[in-house]
Amino acid sequence: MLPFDQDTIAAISTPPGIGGLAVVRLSGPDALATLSPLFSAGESLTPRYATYGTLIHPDLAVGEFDDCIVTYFKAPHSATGEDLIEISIHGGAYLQQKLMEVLLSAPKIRAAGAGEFTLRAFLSGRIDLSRAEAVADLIHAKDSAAHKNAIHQLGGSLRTLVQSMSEDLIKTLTIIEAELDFSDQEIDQTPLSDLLAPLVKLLKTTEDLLETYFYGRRLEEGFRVPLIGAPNSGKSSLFNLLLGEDRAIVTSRPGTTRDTIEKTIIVAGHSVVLIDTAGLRKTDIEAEISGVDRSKEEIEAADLVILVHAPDTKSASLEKDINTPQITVFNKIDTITTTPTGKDTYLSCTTGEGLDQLKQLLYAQVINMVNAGVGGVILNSERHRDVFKRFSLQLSAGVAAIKGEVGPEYVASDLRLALDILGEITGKTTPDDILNQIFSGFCVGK
Amino acid sequence: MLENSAKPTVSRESYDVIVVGGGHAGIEAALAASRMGKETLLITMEIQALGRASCNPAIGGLAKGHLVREIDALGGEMAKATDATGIQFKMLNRSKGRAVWSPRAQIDKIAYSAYMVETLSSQPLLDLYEDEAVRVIANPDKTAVTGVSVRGGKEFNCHSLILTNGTFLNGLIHIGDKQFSAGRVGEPASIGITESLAELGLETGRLKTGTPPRIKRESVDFSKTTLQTGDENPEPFSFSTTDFSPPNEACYITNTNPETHTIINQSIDLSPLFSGVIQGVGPRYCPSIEDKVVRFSDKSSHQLFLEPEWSDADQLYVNGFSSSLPEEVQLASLRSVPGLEKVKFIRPGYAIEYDYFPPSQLKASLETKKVSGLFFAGQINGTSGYEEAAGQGLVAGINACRTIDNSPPFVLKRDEAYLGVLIDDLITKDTDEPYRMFTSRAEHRLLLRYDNAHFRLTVKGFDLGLVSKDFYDGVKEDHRLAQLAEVEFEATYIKPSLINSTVKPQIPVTESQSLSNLLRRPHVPIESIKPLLPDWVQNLKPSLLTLIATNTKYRGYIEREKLQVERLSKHQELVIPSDIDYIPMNAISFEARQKLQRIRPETIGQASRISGVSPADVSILLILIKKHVSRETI
Repeated sequence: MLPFDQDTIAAISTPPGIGGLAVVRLSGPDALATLSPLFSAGESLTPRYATYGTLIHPDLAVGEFDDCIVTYFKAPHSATGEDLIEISIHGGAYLQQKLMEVLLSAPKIRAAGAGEFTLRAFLSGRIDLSRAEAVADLIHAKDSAAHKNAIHQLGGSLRTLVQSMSEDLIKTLTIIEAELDFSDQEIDQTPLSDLLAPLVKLLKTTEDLLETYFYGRRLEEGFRVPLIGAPNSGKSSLFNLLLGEDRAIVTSRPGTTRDTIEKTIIVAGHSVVLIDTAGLRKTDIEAEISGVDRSKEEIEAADLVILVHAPDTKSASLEKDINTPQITVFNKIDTITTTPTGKDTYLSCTTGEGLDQLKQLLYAQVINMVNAGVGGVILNSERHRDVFKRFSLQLSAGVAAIKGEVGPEYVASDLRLALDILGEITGKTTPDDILNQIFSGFCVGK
Repeated sequence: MLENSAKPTVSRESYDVIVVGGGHAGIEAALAASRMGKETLLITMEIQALGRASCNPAIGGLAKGHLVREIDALGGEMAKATDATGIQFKMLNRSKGRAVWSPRAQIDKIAYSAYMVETLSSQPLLDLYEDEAVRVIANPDKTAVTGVSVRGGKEFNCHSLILTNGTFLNGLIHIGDKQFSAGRVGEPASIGITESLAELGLETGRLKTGTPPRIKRESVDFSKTTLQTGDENPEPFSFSTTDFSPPNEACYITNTNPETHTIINQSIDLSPLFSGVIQGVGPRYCPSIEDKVVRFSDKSSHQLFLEPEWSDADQLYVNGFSSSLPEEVQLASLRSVPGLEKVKFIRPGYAIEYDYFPPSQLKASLETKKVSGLFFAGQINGTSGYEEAAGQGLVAGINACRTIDNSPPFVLKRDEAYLGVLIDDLITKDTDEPYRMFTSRAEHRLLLRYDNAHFRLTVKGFDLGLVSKDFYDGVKEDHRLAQLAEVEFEATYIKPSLINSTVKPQIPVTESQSLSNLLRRPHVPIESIKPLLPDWVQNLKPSLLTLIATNTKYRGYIEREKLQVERLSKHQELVIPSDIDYIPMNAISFEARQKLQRIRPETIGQASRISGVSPADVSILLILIKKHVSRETI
């Protein structure tokens, strides 16, 4: 990632946290081509016009990601001098992340580096030259902060992990490079297939790491825990009960859709966002008409689901369809004489019986989620996740190349590219680094 | 052929270009300059020593073979000379992908030198003068070179001066505790040039290299060695070589053993390397035998190659046994090696220390930044290898002429040629070790194959006037045929039944495939589809067919590499003002500022390649340069 590459970059442009609105920007030659298929009004984007529509996310229900406003600025008449697209969506970290996720999965897009939009704006002359030093300082500050941030947030463990992954990759690459630069008369040759094992291991580590991203985001924003159940199962009462007992921090914010209520509580020192889907009742009829089950969306996005059953409701089938970790609750036990079986906990919102047990279960689950991660490393930055996704793709290409018996110089090319991608976090590996490894590891030279 | 006793006289005292040093760099420089129409003088201490190979009697090899092909495409001489005087030719890395195949030849040293002497003597516009250059002369404020003086007293004037002194500047040979001044064994060192350059403000350093003993063929028991010959039908280095059927002389392989290593270890402190007597730094990729035995003590044996130094030579070169141990120790340790029990030396191995000039003082044209008109090429820049030297000599010779014509300098980019990588590395890195080319140094290696060197570079050689029209036309025709074939491969479809019977894939195909798609499948070697190719393609010369097939099979990788080049090309060539001061740029890291200030890169691209300069530093630099430049123009 250099100041003179022609990639299209994406970033959240509004400050982190929760606001009414968030703006995600795309700048570069592939901005329009990337966004059009993801936007309902993609065909009708006109330069400098704000266009209303909905975003399309492949994983979510068709047509119902979020309403948004997209403004398209055609190069050179934009803040960066390149094609620039601004997407305004409702605030809420969850939506921002979902949008970034779908944008970054497009082939020619990558996450912007520190200060990159500003840099491009400057280089195309959109920012006054008299502000040059200010811009330079800004980039410097952002870059250092980005570095410090990476170190600070996870106690340096991300860097350590990436460093060791990098070293493993360099070891394999060194063997290939040594054999390319020193003939079989000078050093022993290793069959390429022997090199597969360490690479496959690296791939697994990367996949595992990518899976922690979800948790990483959650650590930042709070684990999402919706209360799901049929109407009248007592969700709202339970919701209020859980909140009422824990007044440590309670913040109210607009939810992912307009029809839920979210409140944050602290469990085991971590934010947990409880979501009451009871609010849906108001728009149940509309929901039925439009055929969209909003609770399904919440379940998709959830880290943990609290399924609320009650004697007078038919909700036995709920658990079967849900893959997310769940706590099943049987509510209103004060209204029945024989306690059913098969649920995690039984309580009564009226008497408060069983509430402690539920909280303990909640606590245990949160601890579980926090302890997930690879070697204690959890990804929580969109940019880092983008790096690892691209790394995984590139490394897989290298593995496929070895299996396809492609020439070693092509395998080396694949692996070098993968190493460069990792280098966006650790710093670049140069040919001299590889040569140093070769000389210290092999007795070469006639 | 020039008679030994006849020394050429020179008719003038003023030349356009003067070259000092008749080694591989000097030869290419002198030929290039005179062929480009400039009055050129080559000063050398011994005309008969022109083109002498100091060390390994071989040209080419991994990455070096690529350089030789590029020199050929640009109109240089090395490839032709090698074809004419080689005694064994071998394509290395044959067991690997074609993109890293690299040709190597063992040469007849005597014939090679004679070839060069003849070529230089008969070159129009080129005079040869035999004497030792002792002082570089510059104008009073030391900003431009004006000439050079020789020990005999004469002074020559020139517009451009190219120094290619190799290992001769204050050369000091070490054998055990013996030391004596020399540029190469049997030849005197060059004294005075370094000092005069230092006076002009140029920094100098010290490097070392070593060479193995030369032994008498008749003292070797070949029954205890393994014979190795070259390729049966080798390809020539030069595009212009036709009817190529060179000799195929054998070399012989044997191995050291623990006894050899013990003898060496017992006398290790007698090695000037280990006793610290030698100042200079040596190359890691060409370690002495002492080095190998000490650093890789767990290896119980090291391979040695006994190579004849010329056709039917009675003198063999012991490749793999570079040493500066005392002669007796060298002899004793070699006598423990199978086949060498009764070996006799013609000459022991030795180490040589010499002056060099850190090449960060040079521009990409190889002209020094401090003194205009002064060019350095070859080992004097801290490189090792004949091919690296020749390439630099060629570029220096070209640019020495271009400055005279006020033309922009001839600079090859890193994605155009290994020669581009070589020079850019030299002027950008801070290494204190002799530089040798490796394919891993080229980030765009996939584009820089030895077999496409001519397609990449001949047009440049032609535009410079160094390549003949016939040569160029020949290359263009091959290129045209290759492109035609590649298009045809995409468009020609083969029926499944034919594919299955000819290629016999693991899983039989059910649909017609284009030839190119077939080639791109994994596990389909190029040879297996040959019967399916159109006749005219099958009849192309084998090397061209191989090139076409490689381009097709790996098109995906090649296109990706080209995209990478494209992707990084913006701002690369942006020129950094030469008066820029990095120290007050607080937004750039201190380490980066120091490096930038010392190396003084010419372009943003070069700045980004300096170690210690991060992408953020480059962004900031870009901004501040824009500001600097715009302010100047207001």
